[in-house]
Amino acid sequence: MEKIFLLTVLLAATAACVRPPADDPKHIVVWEQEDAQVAPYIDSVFRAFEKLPGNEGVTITRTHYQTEDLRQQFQAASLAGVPPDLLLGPSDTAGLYAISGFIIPLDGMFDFSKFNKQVVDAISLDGHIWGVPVSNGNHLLLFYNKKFIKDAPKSTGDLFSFCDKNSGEDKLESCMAFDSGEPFWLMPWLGAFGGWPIDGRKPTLDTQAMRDALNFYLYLKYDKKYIPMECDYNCMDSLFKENKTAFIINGDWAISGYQKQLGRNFGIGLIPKLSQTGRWPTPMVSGKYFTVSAGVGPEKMEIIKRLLNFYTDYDNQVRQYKELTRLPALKAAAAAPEITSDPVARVSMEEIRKGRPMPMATEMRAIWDSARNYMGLATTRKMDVDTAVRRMQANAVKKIQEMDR
Amino acid sequence: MDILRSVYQVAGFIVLISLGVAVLEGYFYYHFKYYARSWFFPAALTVFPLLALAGYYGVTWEHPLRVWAYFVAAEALVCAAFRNIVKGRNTLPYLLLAPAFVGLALLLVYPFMFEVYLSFHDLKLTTIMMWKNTGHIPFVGLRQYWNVFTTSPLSEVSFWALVGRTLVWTFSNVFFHVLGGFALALLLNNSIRFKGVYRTLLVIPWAMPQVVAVLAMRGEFHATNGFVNIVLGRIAAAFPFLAHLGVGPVQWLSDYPLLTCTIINVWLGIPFMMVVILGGLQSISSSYYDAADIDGASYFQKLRYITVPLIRPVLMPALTLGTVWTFNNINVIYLVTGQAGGTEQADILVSALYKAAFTYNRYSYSAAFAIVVFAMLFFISVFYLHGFDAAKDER
Repeated sequence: MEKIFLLTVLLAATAACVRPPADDPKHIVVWEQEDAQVAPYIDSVFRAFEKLPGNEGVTITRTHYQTEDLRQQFQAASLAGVPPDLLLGPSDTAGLYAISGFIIPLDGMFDFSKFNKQVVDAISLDGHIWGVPVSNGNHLLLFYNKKFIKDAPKSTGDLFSFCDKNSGEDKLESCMAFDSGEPFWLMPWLGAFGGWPIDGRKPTLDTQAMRDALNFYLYLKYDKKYIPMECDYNCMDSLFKENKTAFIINGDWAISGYQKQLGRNFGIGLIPKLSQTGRWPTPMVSGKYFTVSAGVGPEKMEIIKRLLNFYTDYDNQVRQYKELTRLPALKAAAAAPEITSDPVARVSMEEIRKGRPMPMATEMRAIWDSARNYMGLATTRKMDVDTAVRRMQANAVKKIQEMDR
Repeated sequence: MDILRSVYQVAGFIVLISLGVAVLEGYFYYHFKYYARSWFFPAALTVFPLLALAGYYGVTWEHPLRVWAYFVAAEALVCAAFRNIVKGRNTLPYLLLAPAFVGLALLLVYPFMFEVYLSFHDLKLTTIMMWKNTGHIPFVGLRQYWNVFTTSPLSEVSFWALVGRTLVWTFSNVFFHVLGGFALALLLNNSIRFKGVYRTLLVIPWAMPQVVAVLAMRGEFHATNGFVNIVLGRIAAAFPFLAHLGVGPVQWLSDYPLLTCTIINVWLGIPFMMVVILGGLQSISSSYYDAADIDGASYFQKLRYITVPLIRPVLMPALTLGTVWTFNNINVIYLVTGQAGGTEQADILVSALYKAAFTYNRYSYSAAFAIVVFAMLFFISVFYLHGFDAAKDER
């Protein structure tokens, strides 16, 4: 027993004398939370970069996590001092990392003027830009079934006249469907009524625009019965795929799925102009971004700069669209003939131009949470709209204060 | 190649664990063997902390004085325990149990202690980097506990209302779990044909992954296409007088989210109680019932005076477990209401805690909240077990 113990201690002591390998500046670790079909594309760009002249010895390791796991693992790894060098993900969690000091601002390191303004604005906070955009979108659009209507309605007036003729007994189960419980789906209409949930870092929920937007929901749901009484994401998705509704408002992530499902009957259009105000709805626009961990050394940062410039160059941005149907963040690539000649991409780009950047401020967490709760209460008639809107604002302010307690 | 790498990683992990166990066993072996020698205490205080520091240095490439002091203190505690409590007795059992004890301490005790530590400090988004860079988090004493009782992670529901709702949720669920489980177990305890088939069918809700079961049931409560509303609609159409009494389709998820969660959770929880109670019923000797039959006891008298007292030893731990699981059941609440952008009508303590920790990143507040939830569960469990002991004493 004693000999075994002494031997083990000796082994442990020897191991203790082995210095851990220093961070290799030529080895870049990337964590992402993309869908499985995106991984081959990412890997192909990384492998192409490794083969470029001047990149001898550079290796890139990609690790996949589920969205929520990525957030938790990245926080834990950053605290432990062993974060990945790059993160590839949406902008909503970047605010969290920026406030925590886990990622660094990238102003001055890249030429951000070459990217679309909305997508850059969506990753800007406190006057700094925190990520390099690789795709543009994550925005809502109108999808329609050509079996019921040939062209997309241009205004809510057109939409409602169609619904009046085609809803009811023995016709469509509901004229249109969207996730009426999620405030993300309310934002286009809020914008069309002239509102927005945040101004800088201050919540702006107690507005006439918010009242009008919630009353608009009640009108669609109870007065006209154009939308289902209770419908979440899965419900609206099923209704559309099963030809039980003519229209759905869903994100650009659903394009390929609906194209496959509906085939010749697939139709896509802008969310119709709100006839009441004459304004276009303003879906929130963001994208996917590379963010850089705090603590990346200067030598590695040089390689990262080259890698991200390569990843977002014209050829790769166009190829990304061809392979993944993701709209490019690069202005020049957005004007490429491959994209402008595609009617689906054209509509999607047009909707992006009508949208507004998704705010990255951490205060949005309190705003989403408060909006979701009071919107739910108001649109199920458990609370009157005026009270709901006042409490929505008060609660968001309170929760923001509590976040600092 | 990927498979080979995985095999290599797993093998390396096993070797590492084995080495760790060997080091632990050797460490405790020396303590057992020499604890009474006068030279051992100073020698152990010198050698073991230095070896531990060497291991720490090997892993982190750092050797702070603070860590060495911790190792010395820990070694002093271990030596004192060996000298005054263990005293060299039961060497083999302790040596065999040592790795498990240390594993438990690392996996349970350390996180719990850290949770307690956090609850007296102020870790949140804006202090997290300070913690990383300086190892320091501002100490705030009992402030987080005060915040737990005076504020709520929810908008419209206070902490105390949340406690009340959680207790109603827990006890209503457990009551129906036991009632349903007991009834089904009594049925299955009879000699009926295809008993095994029934038992298998009844266990399915418990055996299948909870996510699948909950999402499937959630679909059945959909306002338009759900099975429940379709049935209610048909009943109301077939019996108009029932429709006049208010029977008809309901917006379950919007209007009655907590009731919907309760119905789903009752359906999920009954099989567990059924299996436990059935085990208890099958262990009761038939001679008790034979004697009762001779005495002319009715079915309900046998149930009251034989069955219920004799399954109590099986039922009480299951009841305690069921209460703790239901109290902490975030899955059903989240899957039924959270996904649908639900309002707060179905939130219970743990779902509110989740929101505080992962929506608002209030880590210290959440730690204090978790300690309070733990304390509640601890007292409920003690109350149950005390009741069980009292019942045992009566017998």
